[in-house]
Amino acid sequence: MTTNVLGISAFYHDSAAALVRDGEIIAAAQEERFSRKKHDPRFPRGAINYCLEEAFIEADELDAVVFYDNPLLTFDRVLQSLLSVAPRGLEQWMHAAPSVLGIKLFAADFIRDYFKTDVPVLFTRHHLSHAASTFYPSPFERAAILTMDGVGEWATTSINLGEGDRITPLKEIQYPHSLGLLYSAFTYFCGFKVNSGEYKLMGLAPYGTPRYADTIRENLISIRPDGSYRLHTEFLGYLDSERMTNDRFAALFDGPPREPESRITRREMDIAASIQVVTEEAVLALARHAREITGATDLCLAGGVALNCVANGKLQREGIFDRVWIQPAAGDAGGALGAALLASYRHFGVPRCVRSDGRDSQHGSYLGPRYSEAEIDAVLDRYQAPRHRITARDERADAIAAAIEQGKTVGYFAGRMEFGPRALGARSILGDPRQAETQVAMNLKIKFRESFRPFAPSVLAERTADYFDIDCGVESPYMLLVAPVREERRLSMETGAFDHGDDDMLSLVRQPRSDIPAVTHIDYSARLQTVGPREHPDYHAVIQAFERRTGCPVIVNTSFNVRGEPIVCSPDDAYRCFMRTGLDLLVLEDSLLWKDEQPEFPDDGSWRKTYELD
Amino acid sequence: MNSTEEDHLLCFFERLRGPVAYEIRERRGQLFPLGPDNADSWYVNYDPGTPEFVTVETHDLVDDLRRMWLEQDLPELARLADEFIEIAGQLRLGEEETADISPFIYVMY
Repeated sequence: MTTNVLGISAFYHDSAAALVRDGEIIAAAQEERFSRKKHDPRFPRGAINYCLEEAFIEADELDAVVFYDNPLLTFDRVLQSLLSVAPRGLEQWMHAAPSVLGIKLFAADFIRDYFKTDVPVLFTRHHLSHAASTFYPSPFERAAILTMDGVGEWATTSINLGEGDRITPLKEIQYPHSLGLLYSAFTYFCGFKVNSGEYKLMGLAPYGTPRYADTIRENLISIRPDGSYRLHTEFLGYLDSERMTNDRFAALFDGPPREPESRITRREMDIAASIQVVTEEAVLALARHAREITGATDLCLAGGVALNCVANGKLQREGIFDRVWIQPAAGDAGGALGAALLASYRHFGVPRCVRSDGRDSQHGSYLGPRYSEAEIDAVLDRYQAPRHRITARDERADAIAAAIEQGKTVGYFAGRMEFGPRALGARSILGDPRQAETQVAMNLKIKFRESFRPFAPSVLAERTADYFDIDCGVESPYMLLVAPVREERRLSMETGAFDHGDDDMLSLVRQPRSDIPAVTHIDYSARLQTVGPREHPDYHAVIQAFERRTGCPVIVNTSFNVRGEPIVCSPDDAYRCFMRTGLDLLVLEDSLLWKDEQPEFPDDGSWRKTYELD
Repeated sequence: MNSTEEDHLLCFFERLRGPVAYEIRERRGQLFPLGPDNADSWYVNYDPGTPEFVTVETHDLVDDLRRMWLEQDLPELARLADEFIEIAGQLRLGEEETADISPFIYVMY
């Protein structure tokens, strides 16, 4: 008998839905892609509808809906948190109570009302959902599982053992002590948006020196030799105010928080470098303890902190575990997938089958919608958009590679959309990594984002070791590992002025740092996506074609969106983004559209206001 | 949230942060550690009896909350379970209203 389980994460941030049939992942998507509201926390009706469509089922054919956390425990934590700071906390109560009391406790009713059925609604725990999201799709029969995020119910970090279809939670760190919240506190302090700007803080870190690391170790976080940690909460604002940090925190870091969108100074760069170092220390200590108490040789990671690919790279290179697998939707969206998988295996007793070829079961994380030729034509006809159809894969790949070689930037829309925050070649913007100007040009003219932010390389898996220092056999298909560019490819940089206090990061960004400068960060690191031929043959073919033309098996891959916009989902999203930005070529499956052939696109720029800056 | 609901919420908070918080702290001290102490390890061992799945049904909420707090030796909160759920019922939001969740709630959730 077939078992269909729908997992939902919602009412927090990054709502998502995932559908699992007999233990097989059929579909998964974040609500933001459909609603076009970044990190949308609302009930994921768009994502749910898509999942049901992809599975060709109606709601009454679902065997269960599983919510990814337990609202009772969450309410308990919120309440005890308020009581712990009473009589302070009024502002938090007035803001939090309507959401905590008015939404999450009624999630089961919400779900049944939406589906208009009496489908069983189960609730699991936040960190168990994370653990399930990474262990079950992993290629491991047995593994330690480490989850780290801001907070879920009471837990902020958990160590588990996965064996077959069973996940045994072993130990956890509880709120308010949280590596994720600590990193978010620094994100806020450096003027970035909590829960989306963490990536910027990580990208900023290589520009600085970790001169505040001891300050953080001495005043903000104490780490035991076994990896357990506690925060010194008197320096943090989130217990008793609406801010992540307080005046005591500011006093440690030489002044008040940076105003969002103001100039980034050396102080923020050094703070970013410092918290990155301390975060890595904590992650490594936790991983060592996980290895010690589980005896497992492989590790699975999930939770928002697992998106810190610099820490992941260190963990990989440290060799604490033989292999590391990270859920690409490591944040809360992935909880929907974990909840559905957990129920399939543990509630319905579906046997778990680890793939015999040693690969994972995440399907490249291409778990979102695909659009047919007819659907794409319907959109393009509406815009009266001239296009060139090239149906032969290699011919199409060569045309795209030729454009990239000529310095053009390409909006690339092919196959099923990615599940998780990274674009992996299904909804990507592609460029030439060999040009030093690519980084600045793509940031400013296409992404409309800060120029210091680096781009990621997609590299043919078989050529990875020619460009990056990464252990033989280690793959990074989900862009979750950072590795150094090989020594012989690096170019020395003129850093004199910067080292002597000039805060102009552009003076560094504009300098070639290697023979693939657009994807080489200023510390010579790169956030890798290794691309093999299996999961996305079309994308692999594009990189192969670029290699044939140029000898370089690497291209720039960044998400197909502008700053503050969710990654494009539909052909309509893609065409609008193409016409509003400096992109030169749009690829919609086998249709190629050149910007200079398109009819005028009415654009008053007001759309920029609809996307909140991240 | 209308002004009546807001007043109700405010009144309830006054009770929470006054008598209830005082009573709990008087009896138990701090509810959870706010910083490092001398323990060798700060991990919390997991209770192996914790179920993987639960149901959270509206008609069981009062009993569920009461049981949860009694198990944690928090009778002061258990006594308020029905009031919490009454307030929750008043605050219950429609689907579209969930759009108004404040980003700051991130920490509180």
